[in-house]
Amino acid sequence: MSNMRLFTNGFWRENAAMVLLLGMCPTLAVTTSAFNGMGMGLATLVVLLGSNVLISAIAGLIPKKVRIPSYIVVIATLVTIVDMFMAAYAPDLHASLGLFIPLIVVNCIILGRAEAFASRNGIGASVLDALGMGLGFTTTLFMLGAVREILGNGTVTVFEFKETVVRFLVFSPEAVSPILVMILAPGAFITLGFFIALKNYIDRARSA
Amino acid sequence: MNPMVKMVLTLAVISAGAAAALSAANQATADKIKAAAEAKAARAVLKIFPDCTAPQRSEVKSPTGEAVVVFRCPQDRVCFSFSSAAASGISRPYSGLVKAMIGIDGKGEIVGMRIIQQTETPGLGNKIVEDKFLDQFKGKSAKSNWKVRKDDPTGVIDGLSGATISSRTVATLAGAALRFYEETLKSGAPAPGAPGVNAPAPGPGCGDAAPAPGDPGVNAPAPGPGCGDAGPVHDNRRPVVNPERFQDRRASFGNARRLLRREMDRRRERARAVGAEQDGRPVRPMTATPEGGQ
Repeated sequence: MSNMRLFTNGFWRENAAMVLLLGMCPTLAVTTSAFNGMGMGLATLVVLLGSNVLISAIAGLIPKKVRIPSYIVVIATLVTIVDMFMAAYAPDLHASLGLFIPLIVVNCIILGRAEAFASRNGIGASVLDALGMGLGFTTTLFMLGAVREILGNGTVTVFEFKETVVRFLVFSPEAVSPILVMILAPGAFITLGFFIALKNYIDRARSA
Repeated sequence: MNPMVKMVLTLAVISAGAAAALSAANQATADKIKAAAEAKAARAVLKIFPDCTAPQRSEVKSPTGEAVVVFRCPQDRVCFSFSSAAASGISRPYSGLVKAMIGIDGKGEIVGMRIIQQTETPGLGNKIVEDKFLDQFKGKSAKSNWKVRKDDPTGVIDGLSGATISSRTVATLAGAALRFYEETLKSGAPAPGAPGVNAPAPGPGCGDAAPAPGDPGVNAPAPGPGCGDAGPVHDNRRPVVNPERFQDRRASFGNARRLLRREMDRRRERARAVGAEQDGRPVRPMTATPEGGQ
């Protein structure tokens, strides 16, 4: 596969959230606002990058039968270290994302890519795969969060750090009553369903 | 090498490497993390009292033995941290612990409040950190009725979402923190351990149990302001039902039943008019009395 194809494979063709349906826990739980979705996506991207590089480097040394526990230990260590350094050097970012960081350990995308790609490919290809997968996941989560936030709260939060909040008001909650269920778990399922349908529609239209 | 031995060795090496990396990372960050938490508390103080740049820091124990960090500022102003586990009677948060920094002036009124720790649901409960919610607390004191308006129409706090679990936590937390302030922190208050400290200070109107005359809106035996201690401790899983609203709901159920009965009568009437058959099938009587006998 060409380098570009490696990237677009993760970004679109095998998009983690919309095609592989991996990592549903953060996809559904965290996308209550556009910024939350983006933050979770970016944190996943960083860990995915680290784990893909590490695992493609050590995969040859690990016996087949113990590969999964080995990968999990590597991933959990990586996530914990990221969590600690974030708490120490970026406490404000940690305060707004801290809840999602430990969740990354159990994110199937990381283990899935370690098992299906990084352990069988070189470091360069694994980096491209992590970037494609990670950015595809981030974009999907951001859009999912934006749609849910607009319908459920009437706003789009693009950025929230310390006292700086960039938030657009789509409609006033006083004028139009927002659909609260869109912020809750069922809203996530409904929105994701429409996203998958839209993606399938685009794919079909392009291939026709 | 024996494959079994190799597997065990591989896992052992990886785990040892992970342990080494983690302890190194912990060593490198532990002090920084502690400093960051303290800086956050200090920033919260500065946010509440912008002119209080050099507060006098001390630490006391809350009624449940939690550490309460107290910052004393000039003009009898006090800023202190108080968590949802610091006193009994605080409604449980949805998840984890909620910790607030509360600034109180010499008159015992809240000047400002910041949430410095919480893990409530993003997008719903975590709105307790927003100024729009916290601004309601300003100017309130230990004498206020620290209830969410949904539970008690005379309460002083408007909840955030339908379930109001997080709002209830913050409201009861503020009430407990203010009581703690009146009992132990206020200048001139008896020193901890002195007789009478643990007894709740009775506020005005605390003695009479009967509802104040001319107050028909409140059906629940709501204690007068200042009776926070006497109020029921909310369990989040069973929200307090406003009895008035419950009455309404029962009435509407009765109404629905009446409508349904009327509708059934009408259908029976129509069926009788059309004849005993509909779509070729005999119409079954809707009453329990077996008229047709089929």
